[in-house]
Amino acid sequence: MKKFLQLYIYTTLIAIGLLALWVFITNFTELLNPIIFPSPEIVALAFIEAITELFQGFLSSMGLLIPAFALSLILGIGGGLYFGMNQRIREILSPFFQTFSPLPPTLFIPYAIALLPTFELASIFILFIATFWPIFLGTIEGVLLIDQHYWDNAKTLRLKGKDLILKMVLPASSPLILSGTGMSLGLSFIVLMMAEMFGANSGMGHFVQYYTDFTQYDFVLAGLIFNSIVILLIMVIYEKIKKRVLFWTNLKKTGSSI
Amino acid sequence: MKHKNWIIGIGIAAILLLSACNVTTGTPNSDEKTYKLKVGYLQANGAPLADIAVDEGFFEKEHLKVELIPFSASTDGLNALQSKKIDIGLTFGTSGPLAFISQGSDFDIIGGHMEGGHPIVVKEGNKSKYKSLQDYKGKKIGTVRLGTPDIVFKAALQESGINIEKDVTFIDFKSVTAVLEAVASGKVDVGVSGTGHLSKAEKIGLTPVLWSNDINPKHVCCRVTVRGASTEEQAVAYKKFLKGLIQAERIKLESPEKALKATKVHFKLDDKTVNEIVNEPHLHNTADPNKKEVVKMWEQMKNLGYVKNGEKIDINKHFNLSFYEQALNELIKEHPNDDYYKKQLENYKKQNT
Repeated sequence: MKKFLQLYIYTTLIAIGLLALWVFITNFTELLNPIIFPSPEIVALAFIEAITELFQGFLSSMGLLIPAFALSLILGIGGGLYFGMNQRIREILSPFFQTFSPLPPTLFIPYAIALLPTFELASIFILFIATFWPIFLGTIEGVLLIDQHYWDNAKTLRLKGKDLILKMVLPASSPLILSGTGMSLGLSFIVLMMAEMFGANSGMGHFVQYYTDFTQYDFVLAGLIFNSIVILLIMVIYEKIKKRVLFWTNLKKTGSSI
Repeated sequence: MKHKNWIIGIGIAAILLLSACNVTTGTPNSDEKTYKLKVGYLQANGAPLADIAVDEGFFEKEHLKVELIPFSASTDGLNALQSKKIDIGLTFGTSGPLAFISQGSDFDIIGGHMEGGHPIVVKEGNKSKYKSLQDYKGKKIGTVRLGTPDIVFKAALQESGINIEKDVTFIDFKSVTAVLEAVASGKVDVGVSGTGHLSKAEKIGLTPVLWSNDINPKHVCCRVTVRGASTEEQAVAYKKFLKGLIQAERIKLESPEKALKATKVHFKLDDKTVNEIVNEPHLHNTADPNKKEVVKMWEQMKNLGYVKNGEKIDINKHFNLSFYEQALNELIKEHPNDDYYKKQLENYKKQNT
């Protein structure tokens, strides 16, 4: 606890300051429209009222996010390693990577609805499209930036095939793979709102979208706060995993990078 | 003994299989076939008539199972219809399906769901400035492009001699919510709002100065849309669906409280808000296809430049009125002493032929 306070004392103070500012502006001034900017008490009431729906939404969203993210990890890391280690094929296909990776996932919604058999799979596909590229490109970058010494040592040790990948390439490129994975995680929550726009009756993104459509901003803010807490918890867990995986870097000495 | 177990196992499996088949094709007390429809609706509009029909058991009576699928955007819903993921588009507007038809989609309009109900809003203090359509000259107007109220309002301005390119400035927004915020914050003078947004507009200091009904009392909104080529089974299911909607329309008209009870199951909102979305007096729910008004909107869309190459498409080929007519005739036959359905038939003839 003491360590936590030492680390996050300023973070906590800033959070309290922001909350106090919110209370002050919404309760003691007329600077903001109370419908669009409800006071924290009203949002808290909405939060309590919608808590079951929010948790249902969490479960629905995880039902989409987990398979999409798992697929992105498998194909992103697998594909990234392959293209990272095969210069010729990478050169041939890299214009496609550059072209497709910046496209917003919303563009794919009509195609996902048309081509995939269920709305759930279409949503998973949209999430996959968003989360795949940072992991895939991060992995390629990670492989390309491996120090020449590692390649020389691997050659001396006659590492080949599976051994080369598991004992040298994967660990050496892991900082950038994990950086891409972190980016994907953050992005996945942004895209969740688009992925839950069709055929969904619940979900973290759906909740916010639904109440935005009906201008119920107390519920919108309650949803945003709930989503922020979920994102924060997931990112904290992710950072812990990342530090453990990257035990050989100086990342463990820092508090948190998020 | 082993042999005996096998026989018992096969027997149980057969019973299970038969009972499973019974769930999908029949009902417990009848041999009549059960039909299934996947019906897409726009979340912000809801699907009041379908909700009432479910609540009152009208679909069940017709051996029709309706699965309602929500969408946040009409285009996603219409794409789902196009790619056969849903069978019917219920509340995706009129202009949405017409825009798809203009791009070559083989859609047919088979019925209606809503008419009217869209307010034009301004800040409360500015209400007195807008007495006629000429008062909109020189104003900045926020709108959701291609939405039904967008077309009705722009067409009315055009018809009153206002040049919508030069005399007014239209600013496009992605949602009605954004339009309302833009008016409230003074970024635009006027907002073309949509059905179901009245109380939220009033809460942020806006007020309606004109209703789409004032411009055109019979203008159409959501149309029941299906893919053009339908199987025999679908044709029966569509007729049954419209039969349910026609009966629901009557319930809504005669007992609005029943409409509230049926629809609030789908809305995660308080009763007052749901009642406004469903029972607002400017909003009329009718299952009549109202072909004449749809064709009128098609022409308006052509004039506004929303439909390019419209001359190449015969919009008359994108209606299938037979399902509605059959549904109405069956209801008249089933209720020979009831004048309501006879009146609807007269109305249908006026509006469609």
